[in-house]
Amino acid sequence: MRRRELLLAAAGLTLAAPAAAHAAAPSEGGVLVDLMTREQRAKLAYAAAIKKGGPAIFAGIRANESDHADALTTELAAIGLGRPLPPRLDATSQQLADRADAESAIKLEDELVDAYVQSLPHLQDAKIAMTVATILASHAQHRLLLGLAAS
Amino acid sequence: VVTRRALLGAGAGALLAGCGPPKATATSRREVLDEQLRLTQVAVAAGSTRAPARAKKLEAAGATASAPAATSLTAYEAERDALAGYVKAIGRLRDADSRTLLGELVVDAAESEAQLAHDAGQDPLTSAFPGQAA
Repeated sequence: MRRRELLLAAAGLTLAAPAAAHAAAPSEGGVLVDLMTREQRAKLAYAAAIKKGGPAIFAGIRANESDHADALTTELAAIGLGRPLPPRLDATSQQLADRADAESAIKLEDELVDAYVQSLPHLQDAKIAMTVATILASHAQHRLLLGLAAS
Repeated sequence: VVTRRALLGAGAGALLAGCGPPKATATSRREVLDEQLRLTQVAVAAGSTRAPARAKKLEAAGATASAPAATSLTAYEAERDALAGYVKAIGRLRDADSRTLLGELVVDAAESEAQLAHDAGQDPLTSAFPGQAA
């Protein structure tokens, strides 16, 4: 095998390895950006719902979402990534913004809990994983308290 | 200027690094889960109605621990400690099964803590990061 062939083979395999890993599991950065996008949507949706006269508990939850976004910004910076631009609302967050009711908020928090649980196996950094776990705990509490408020 | 030799060496080095054995974990999964079961059993002894189901889940995952005869902690305090333990354990265990199990335990303990605070007339939303180390 000539030098050129060896060089290309080595470079190709080096580049192919990360690509295969991406296909198998999302990257830590990708997971954090997704969680941050969800937090930003939640923050915007609760703000809109509060303006429409939603339940009093929304104010405390929105403050928590803001703290979560700040914490994720710190973790993103730790791995060299910036805060993503504010996203558009998706169907669930738009429903909360439009209806401003506890049921819509429970649906949103339910999606957040699922997303955070599913993210944990993909976070290699222990500190990031623990921060994400505390935010997961917060969303689980939001969901429970919204249920109590709605009943 | 990067020479052919340097590039070739870097490529080969990367290949060798990728083929090596996974790093051994210094933390024993069993040891960490045993500690979580111990914390959960304290919550059971303190009167948490949700903790017994979590203890069974941990036992099903292979954890063992002796149940405490009694505790001076309230159910709220014991659940707060259990939640903090689960969060810390997530930092110690990286395998997917452990992370998923511990994530489920975090959800349940967090809800239990919030329910107990609510029932006691306390503000359950005092922290945006429940389970965070003090």
